[in-house]
Amino acid sequence: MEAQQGSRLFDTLNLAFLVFAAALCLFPIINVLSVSLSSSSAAAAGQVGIWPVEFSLSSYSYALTKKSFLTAFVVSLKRVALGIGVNMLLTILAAYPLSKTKRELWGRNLYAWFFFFTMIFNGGLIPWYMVIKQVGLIDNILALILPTAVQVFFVLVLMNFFRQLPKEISESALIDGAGHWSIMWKIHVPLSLPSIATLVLFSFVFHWNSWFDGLILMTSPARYPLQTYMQAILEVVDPLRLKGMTAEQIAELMKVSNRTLKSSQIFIAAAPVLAVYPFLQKYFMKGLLLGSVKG
Amino acid sequence: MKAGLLAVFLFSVAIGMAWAGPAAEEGPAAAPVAAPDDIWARYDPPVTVTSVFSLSAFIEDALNQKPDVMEDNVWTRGYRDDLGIEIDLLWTVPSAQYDEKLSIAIAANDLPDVIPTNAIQFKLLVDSGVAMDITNLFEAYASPLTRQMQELDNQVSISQATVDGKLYALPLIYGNVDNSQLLWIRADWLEALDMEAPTTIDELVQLAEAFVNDDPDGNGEDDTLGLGLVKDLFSTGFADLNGFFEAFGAYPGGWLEDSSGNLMYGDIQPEMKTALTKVAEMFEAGLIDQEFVVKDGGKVAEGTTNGNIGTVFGQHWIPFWPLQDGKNRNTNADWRPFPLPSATGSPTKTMLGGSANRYYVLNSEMQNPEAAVKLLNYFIQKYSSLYSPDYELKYIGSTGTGETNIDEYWEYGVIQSWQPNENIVFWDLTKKYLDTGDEQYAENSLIKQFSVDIGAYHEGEDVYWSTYAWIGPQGPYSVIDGYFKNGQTIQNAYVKANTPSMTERGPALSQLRAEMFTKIITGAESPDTFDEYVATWKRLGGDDITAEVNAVQ
Repeated sequence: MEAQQGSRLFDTLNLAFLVFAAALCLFPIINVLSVSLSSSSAAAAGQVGIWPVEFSLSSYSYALTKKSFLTAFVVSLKRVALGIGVNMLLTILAAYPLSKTKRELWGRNLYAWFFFFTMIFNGGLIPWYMVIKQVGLIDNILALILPTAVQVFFVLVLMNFFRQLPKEISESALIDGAGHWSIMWKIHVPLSLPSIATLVLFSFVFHWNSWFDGLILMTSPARYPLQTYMQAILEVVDPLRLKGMTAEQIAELMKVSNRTLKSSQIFIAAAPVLAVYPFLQKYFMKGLLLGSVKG
Repeated sequence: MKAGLLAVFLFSVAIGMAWAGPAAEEGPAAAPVAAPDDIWARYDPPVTVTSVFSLSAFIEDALNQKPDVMEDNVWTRGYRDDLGIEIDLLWTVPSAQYDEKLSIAIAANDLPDVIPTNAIQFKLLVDSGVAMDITNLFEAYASPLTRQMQELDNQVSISQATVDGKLYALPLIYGNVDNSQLLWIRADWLEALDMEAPTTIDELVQLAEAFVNDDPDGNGEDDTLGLGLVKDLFSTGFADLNGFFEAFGAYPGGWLEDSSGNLMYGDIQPEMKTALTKVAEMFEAGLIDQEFVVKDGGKVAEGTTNGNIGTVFGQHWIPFWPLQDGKNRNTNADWRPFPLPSATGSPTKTMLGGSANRYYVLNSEMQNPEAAVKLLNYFIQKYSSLYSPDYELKYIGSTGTGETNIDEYWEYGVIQSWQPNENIVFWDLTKKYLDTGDEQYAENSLIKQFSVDIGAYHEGEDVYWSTYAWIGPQGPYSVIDGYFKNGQTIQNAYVKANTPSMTERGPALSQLRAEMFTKIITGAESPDTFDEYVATWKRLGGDDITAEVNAVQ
């Protein structure tokens, strides 16, 4: 009886703590959403909390007709589509052989260390930049994709997942005459969908959120991905540059210092990530393997 | 095996170092430059000058309408037709990201002919030998008007671009007139309480008390503050304490000449202690936000916008941000600039600092480096509406004429330099034009534009309030003009690039100042701790910095 009370108390406290932690994470997002839906003067006065004040959609209509924002959005979509494809293809192709034992793949440990080494050591920013420049990728969207084409962390995750698949399945497939290629695509990949879905999500978030490489590797804002564009508008304006301003510039500056517009762009930029999470959720189900091996 | 790994490791380190940037070395000795027959001679065949470009909000907008506007605009056409110079921009980047992008390019030594830098990057390029010594070149090729601009600027920006007696960059002059500090007050609150703008610090304290206690906004709530203050305390240009300290003759971050002509640092003078003690008293009396230590400019701006704050120290530009937001929120908010009050009995002098906004460094590998000086001459010739007989409206921007060509604007200039005192002159002309309607004052298109905007404000369009409050007859330049007429300015005695100790110790010393001053203001430490701070400052490298500054001078 006492033990039960104790555990109930623990549950209550635990629940309260988790709700609190979740609220801490959720509140800033709700605040950004509310600011984006408020009038700009209410937002500038800092009066917006959880609910929008003086509801307005004007910041969204402005953001969605702003050409540079839309261009950057399209670049990001391209990057994500290409990036996920390249990431996942190479991850699967590397993880399958590495999941075999030393006896099945000659020099397997050497390969593994070869990959692992790059997780710990890298050349640093400037050599990285020089290499990309020398191979002529500057200004090319591939510059945002090829340098991170193999994510070693993904390979390790998937390799370990492949390893704990029951050996009997691939053995029986071998007996039935399947080669490694068919075993990989027709058995390992379908059985690893939960893990692959997770990696797709990681890859998506990684490519969607990267901004620094866009800044360094693109020579004009017209080729920026969305988050590089966002970083520029969220930086503070240098007040020393306000000299001799014309009416258009003043109007432009006011748009820049306009918190509702920034918030609406933050929210539009975050929306795809928010939308993809629940969509991939169904792959996270457990028990995909139940009943595949009998006895 | 181990030795092999080590070799690979060392090899990659070596490559990393080889690529890590230009090795520090002496730049090539400057050869004397023969005076050319004609500094305006056109190149035939044309030469190409490479550079990089920081895009303003205006240009980013223009790019949406005309994607090739950076390659084809009024300035690039002028450079090609009049000078025979083609511009090749290696990259363009929004201004907010410029410094970061350039820093990478400097580290990778992937630089154009003309490199626009900030003060820190300028010093880096000089030290690493990338910057060309252009002392003789500038002497030979600078046009009479270019020299006149340097004189109007009192040679301040040229001195900033000079290291060890050699000129290493063409400075962009913006004019240190705009460094002036002002006291901004809600005039409608003054009126509601039947008070006058303060002329002494004691009156300022009384005003702050009245603003806190007497409900100046008349909403019946105890929600107003005496003085807006940001956590950084100094040099933010909005809601900082520079103006307050100057009233005591204290100059944070400035260098002053003592009676024997030696330079001494403003931060450690006894006047600082008096000023700090007064701020601490105001904090204790509740006249300053008790939570100011966590409020940045954006947070204080919420206070000026929602009408909790009615007094701030700030520079000329704050009507654009954030005061305009307050005007949009409350049409009665009537912020006005006033001269700094005084705590010493004699008129307060405001400090004028550096005058260079950007440094155009010429790459020591540049062919035809005189082309860069020609670009500067050309800009001044076409842009300086107040001094140049050749100035053309289309190079400045055809605003105010009713039709706007998106590719005709001064911001496209690859090497720029403004007129040092232009804002005061603009203010003066605008005032005369508004008073008399005489067209001779409005020959410069900007004057007409300002007048139109001010007229629109008087018609009740509050969005134009900031133009009115910035360049209007009672705006900041009426006060700044008074500073100059009454000799209420003092030049910061050291505006050159950082000395080695400044680079090395500066950040730690700034941190020390921020911590000590914040503690004294909030009452965590008594004002007497200031003496301890001075001793610590000297010990931690301040003495070295002072010695180096005096040696350079």
